[in-house]
Amino acid sequence: MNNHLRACGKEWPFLSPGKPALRSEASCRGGRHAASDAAFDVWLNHGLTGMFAHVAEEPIPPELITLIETCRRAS
Amino acid sequence: MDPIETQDTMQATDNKTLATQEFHDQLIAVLPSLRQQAMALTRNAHDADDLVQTAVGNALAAKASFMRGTSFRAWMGSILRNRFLSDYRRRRPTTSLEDAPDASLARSGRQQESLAVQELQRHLGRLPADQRLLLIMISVQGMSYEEASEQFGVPVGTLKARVSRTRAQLRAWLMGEVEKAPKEVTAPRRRAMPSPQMDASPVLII
Repeated sequence: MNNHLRACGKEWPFLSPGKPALRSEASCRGGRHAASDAAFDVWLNHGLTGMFAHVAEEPIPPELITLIETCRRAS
Repeated sequence: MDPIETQDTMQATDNKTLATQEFHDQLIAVLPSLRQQAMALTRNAHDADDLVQTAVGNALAAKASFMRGTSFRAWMGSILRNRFLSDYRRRRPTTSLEDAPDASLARSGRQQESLAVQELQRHLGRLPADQRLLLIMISVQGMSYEEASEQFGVPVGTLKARVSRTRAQLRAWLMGEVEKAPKEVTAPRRRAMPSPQMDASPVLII
């Protein structure tokens, strides 16, 4: 897939300073469209994971644990 | 008391205790996932923590309504989402990117400096919260469409189409194509599972 995208000259991320937007797969043909979509999905998932993964790794606020444990003991 | 009856009563008590323990254990285990979902909805660390705390309080008060054998994460996610729809979205209809500190959204080294990722952040903020949540559930949390369907109360096929359209929308924005932001419209809510927190809040049609 990557080789294919290189052949198209369109790798994700496709934005660069002074070049806010590029045409998509318009210059690519046939199955390249699907490959480009797949490449974007991979890039998007990677980007989203980079933005949100750390949230799940942060320590849980102690007051939240206290709330749950208090309820557990009371039940 | 009949010895057999006594034994049954003790067994029932043990089962109840076990169920209670399991409930609280599952609740603690699901907190990281909930915080991610809350961040996807609010795009603000402080609001996300408040939202999770409120949802946990609601879940503790309504633990009897959880049906064993169903997805606990989907049940909690449903409560969280409905709290957001009924409380937070009214209070802050749209959270601008400026309200979301960089540190709370991107801490991934080189990525943080990437113009493309910054653009992605900006365009994520243009998406309706529900659409953003679904994308994070599928793309980041690796949730199955079946589980997401349980949480959203929407058929799997519909969710797949929504995710596909969301990705296409983001791609179009990133590539500078001029398209209107997805509309938020109201529609009758479809319920995923019993929750005491559900009300008549509008739901997004993605």
